[in-house]
Amino acid sequence: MKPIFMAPFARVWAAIPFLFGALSFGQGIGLVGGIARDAASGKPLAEAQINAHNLDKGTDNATVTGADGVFTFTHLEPGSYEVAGTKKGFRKSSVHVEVAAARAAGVELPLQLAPEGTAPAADREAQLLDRIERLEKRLAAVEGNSASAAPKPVAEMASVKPPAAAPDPAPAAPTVPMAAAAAPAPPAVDLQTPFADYDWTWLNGNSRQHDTPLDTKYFSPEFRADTFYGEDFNQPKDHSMGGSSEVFRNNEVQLEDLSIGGDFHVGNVRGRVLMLFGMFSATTVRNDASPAVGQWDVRAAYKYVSEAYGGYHFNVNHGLNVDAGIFVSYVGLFSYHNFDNWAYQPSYVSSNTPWFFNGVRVQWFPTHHLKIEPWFINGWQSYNRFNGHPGIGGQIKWTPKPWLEVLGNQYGVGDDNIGLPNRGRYHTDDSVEVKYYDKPKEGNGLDKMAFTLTGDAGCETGEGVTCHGGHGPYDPVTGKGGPKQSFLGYMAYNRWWWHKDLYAFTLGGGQINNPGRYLALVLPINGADAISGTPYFPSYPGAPFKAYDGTATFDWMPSQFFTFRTEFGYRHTNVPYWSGRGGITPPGGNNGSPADFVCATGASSGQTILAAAEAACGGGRSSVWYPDLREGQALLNFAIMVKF
Amino acid sequence: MKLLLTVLLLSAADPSWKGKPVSDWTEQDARQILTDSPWAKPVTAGLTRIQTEDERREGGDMGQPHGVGVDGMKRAPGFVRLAVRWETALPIRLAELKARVIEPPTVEGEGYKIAVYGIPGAFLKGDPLTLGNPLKKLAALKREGKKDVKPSSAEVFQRQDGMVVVYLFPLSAEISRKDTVIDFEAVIGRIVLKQSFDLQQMQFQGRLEL
Repeated sequence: MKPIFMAPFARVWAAIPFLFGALSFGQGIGLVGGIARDAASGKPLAEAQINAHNLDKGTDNATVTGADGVFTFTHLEPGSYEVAGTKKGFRKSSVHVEVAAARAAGVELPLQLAPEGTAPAADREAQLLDRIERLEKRLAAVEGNSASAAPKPVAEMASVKPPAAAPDPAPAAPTVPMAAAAAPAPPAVDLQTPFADYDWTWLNGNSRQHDTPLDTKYFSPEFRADTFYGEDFNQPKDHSMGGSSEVFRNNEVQLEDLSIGGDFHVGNVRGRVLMLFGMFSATTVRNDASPAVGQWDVRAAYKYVSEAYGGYHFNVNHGLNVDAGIFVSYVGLFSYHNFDNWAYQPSYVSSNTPWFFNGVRVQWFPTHHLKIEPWFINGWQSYNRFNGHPGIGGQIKWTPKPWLEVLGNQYGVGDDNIGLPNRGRYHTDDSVEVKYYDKPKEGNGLDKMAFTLTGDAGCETGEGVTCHGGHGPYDPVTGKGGPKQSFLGYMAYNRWWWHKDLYAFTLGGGQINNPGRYLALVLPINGADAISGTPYFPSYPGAPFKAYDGTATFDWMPSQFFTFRTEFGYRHTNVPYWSGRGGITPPGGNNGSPADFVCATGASSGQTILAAAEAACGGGRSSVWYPDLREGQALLNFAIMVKF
Repeated sequence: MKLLLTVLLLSAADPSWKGKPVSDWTEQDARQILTDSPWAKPVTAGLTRIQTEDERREGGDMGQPHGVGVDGMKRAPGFVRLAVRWETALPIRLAELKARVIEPPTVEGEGYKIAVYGIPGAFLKGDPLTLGNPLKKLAALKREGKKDVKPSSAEVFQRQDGMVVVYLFPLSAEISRKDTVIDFEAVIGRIVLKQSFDLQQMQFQGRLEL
């Protein structure tokens, strides 16, 4: 317990002149720095409570030692101080220090180990008695003053500052019973974190979970399993259904989506990975034609990944993120994962629009109700870039009221057709979600109702097609003219929840008109995909494609992590599109040439033009095999979905 | 007799900080001053909802938040009972003395010190200033027609019965009786807290005590 001046605390003393200089203290304050040590071992003591008590004024300043045992007081008024150190398991150690203006003093506080169970209590009692004594002195002084002092004029008292510093004894937390008398709390609303102010789990495309049971400090894991059984009333004999990015096989139990991954977060650094298995890992990549551009097996590289990105969170406004990698798209409102959706089979404006983007995105939250998210991406649901232009787009999400979400996705600039570098694509996708009834019931009645409305419009222009048509036939010299190649569609859904959200029923559907078929999903006839195309359902300028659909969906949700879903839907097109009883698989199975017509024997004709194929297959229409395609599909499906 | 009864009733109605000299305060009087008086108020504060990881991500964040007012509160109902106290007010300090209350949350520097007691704790480790730093910008003293006053520092103290956050507001705020009412607002993790104080009532021995 010795006061030391200019003692050999290399680190403390090295810091003191710097502190004085850097902090530009006024001339009226002094600084005390020091170190607390274990008196026996000499090792620095971290987290020791240090109190500097002004013996003249009775004020106190407190701090805690750092990991190296060092502490500093940087704003002490000149005067006599008792600097004391305490730590559990040690006896109190104190030292007297004179603090002078603009001067630094150093102290060392060696703390003796206290005999177990005795010394802390004794120290504590002594400390309390000391404090009480000091306060009693102050109290006596106050009472003496107040007895003699006449009341001051109001003007003189109008502005009151607290005493120079608080005297000692300490406040204690009020007992809970006394505090319990307080009025009920108003609902608390987080006005800082984006979209945290209200419960948005009712939204279509959002997870309805309220808990994250597996969350840890640096990793928030995610697990999804979605298993499906479908009964197509057309009963295709090869169990194969086309025209959807959600349902693929008939009359079988299929694992549609098995996703494993989660969010990594350390400070402002973030990353997300969601590995993808099950049918989705094969059926999503086949809708992207861009892997045909150039080399490397990009489909293999990405097929087991639905989301994978890393980024950084900036503390700007209500948050600003920059992420790069593969991230999901919410063009078409519905989530890529059916657990999050109100229906299993969304309508065309969702099912036929992108589920992912590959590139860089910025998420900026200027307010807690608004997200502005620009994208710089390779293309329209594409792993690669089709031609010279990147895809540019973005999303704006606005939640002005707890019952309203407005969402818009815009896309342009990209040239998203293989070998057509001058055909641009533009698309707008805009949704509104409204919860128009929300009255939680004690009983089993209706508790919530909401609807969504989505409108999409888009087109392609250049190299033989136009956005609006009416410019005459295509002129290869000027590059102008050609039929209209556009996409116009809408979908609307209404959902009812009852029995405290144990059950829900959704009714909805939509309609599209997509001349040119550039967003019609390529049917998997003979193993066809977006790269190969199929001669049985070709896309070409002016090719008609109109469709509508509707679904009725019933959900049983006994847990926030589980959904049992059954859904009946009907889909219709103005051209044969849906698998019929005969199926879409050639006799003997796929022959490896999906771009060619198939002979009745199952062999490839080697021809993409029907007349040539007929000749190659032996002559006549009957020599060529045709898939069984219908204009309508009725489907009853069941799904068990789990998400943690 | 009637006069005597009136005087007795009036004097019975007078709170201790108005009707009694400090030397006559009982421990019960002191406890009342510390828990329910013009300088100390019991508050039932609301809790913000816990977001799921999906919601956090949609809002641009990842991972659940941690820290004061978050950790150790998962099982709390939609509210938490707290107490807010002007630590620098003389009656509070005198009552602390009378009530033999010890271990004050101490904050370095001069100013108006307001402490929030009873925050459910998870026994967070760390320097009080470091723990309190994120809370500093989420608190304010508000008066009608004047700019909000932000604390110059905030410190967090771990106690056996919970945590205490002490805010230090600068003297330059110059709070006066003319302000009539002053609101203390703070967000501490999930806790959203607002308490009004009547400056007319915060008089002690003829002076505004803050």
